[in-house]
Amino acid sequence: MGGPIISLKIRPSREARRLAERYGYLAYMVERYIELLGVEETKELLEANEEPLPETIRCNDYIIDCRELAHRLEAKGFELKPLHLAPHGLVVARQPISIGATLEYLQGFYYIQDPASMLVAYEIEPRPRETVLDMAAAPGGKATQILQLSRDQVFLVAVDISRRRMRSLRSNINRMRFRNYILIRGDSRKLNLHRTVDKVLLDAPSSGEGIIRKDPTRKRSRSLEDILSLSALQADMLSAAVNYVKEGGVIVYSACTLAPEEGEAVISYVLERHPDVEVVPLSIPHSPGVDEYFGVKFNGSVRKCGRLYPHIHGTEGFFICKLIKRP
Amino acid sequence: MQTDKEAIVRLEKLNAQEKERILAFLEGLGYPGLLDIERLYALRVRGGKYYNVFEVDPPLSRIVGITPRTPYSLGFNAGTLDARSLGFRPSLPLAFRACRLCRAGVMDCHVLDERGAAIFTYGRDVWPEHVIAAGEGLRPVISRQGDCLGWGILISHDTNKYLHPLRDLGWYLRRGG
Repeated sequence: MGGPIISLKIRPSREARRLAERYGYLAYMVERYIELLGVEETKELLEANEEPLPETIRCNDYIIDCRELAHRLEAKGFELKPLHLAPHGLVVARQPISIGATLEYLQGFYYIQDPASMLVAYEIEPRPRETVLDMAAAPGGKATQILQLSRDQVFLVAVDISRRRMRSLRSNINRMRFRNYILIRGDSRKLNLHRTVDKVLLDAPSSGEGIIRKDPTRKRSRSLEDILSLSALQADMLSAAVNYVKEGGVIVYSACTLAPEEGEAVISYVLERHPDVEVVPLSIPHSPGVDEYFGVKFNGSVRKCGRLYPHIHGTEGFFICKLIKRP
Repeated sequence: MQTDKEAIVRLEKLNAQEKERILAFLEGLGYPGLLDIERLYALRVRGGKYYNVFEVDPPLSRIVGITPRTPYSLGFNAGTLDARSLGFRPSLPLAFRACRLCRAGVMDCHVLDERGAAIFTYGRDVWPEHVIAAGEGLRPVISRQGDCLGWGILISHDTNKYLHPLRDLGWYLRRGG
């Protein structure tokens, strides 16, 4: 892994410090939001982050009709609403017991998944007999969704480095009853693939700045240096993804973050080093990526990448970008 | 497929003796076609007490060689074989497959009432008053509504009879991660 891919020094303004103190953030984070959104919209974001993220589930229509699932859960006292962003998504408005402790969950009828996270697999558009590589697959939300969307007809190679999280991945794939997969434990940058794959998903390890609504400790848990260090790892993994995918193949990069250091900076860095790669438009609802940040200019095509904001889309903060490797 | 004899973990086709043991288990259920014996592979860990057994379709088996790394898991998880005794312990995915046959009336299963289903998925023994119908010995277990709950074995001890969970769905919460 190389050094930082972007050099930044952020001096929080008085307004940023004031808002940071009021909402309990590190001041540099708020300064970044002001840079991205302006002061007024930053206040909206910070307010939206105070609202807990609703619990959402993804119906596994590979093994159950989604109306039947809703009927079964409602009969047990759950209140469900459709999640308009994602066709298989349901918002759990009321739960008499934990939604992760029902017989329906144990039978693999659904996966507990945050709303923006549910959108990624749709961009992969998995088709029968394609080989799809998921480079950071555990605990398996997107991996199982790729298998679900293809009706278990893709060949999924799912990789993760964590032994503990690998058990969850295996458990989730088995619970949801898929069989066209190979799980590999290890560093996905060092796979030594003998041939290229059709598509790659890289849901990169991230600062988790996007899930403040679920985990408010993220308001203060990561320094700017931590984020810059992560962005170098993310760029390294995305470069590996470019090498793994075939010509004409698709890479979907995502990260649960609003930090441009982990989003547009990573994409821009890889575009500069791989002229055969280009960004293609997304089909999911999103706000455009940012092409300038604290005076740093990114490759202009990063505007085709997508951002999801809590105060605009009602989701966790999220970054997603779809790339194609030209023949 | 992985054939390196020195590897710590190896993926290999089952040998004749191992196939025989699994076939005997399937015949005991009265449904030898529940697994395709010729497509079974074992993931052998050097010094391991048991092997994970997977049913792997030919197109997927061709993908295995995409990387020199041995898989952690793949295909249809059929169960485990004890490395010494070769005793076969069926998996929860195999229970899901077998339960379909219970619901279709093709295979005998243990059937539990609501209370029995809850007790079973906590990994606890179920007393006869909650067993609506019992098959012989080790069988898939379903609820009155037909939901698959796992594998259970009917045990007779003196005058007592109870259903002991061999694999129950609650495992996904307790151990599955």
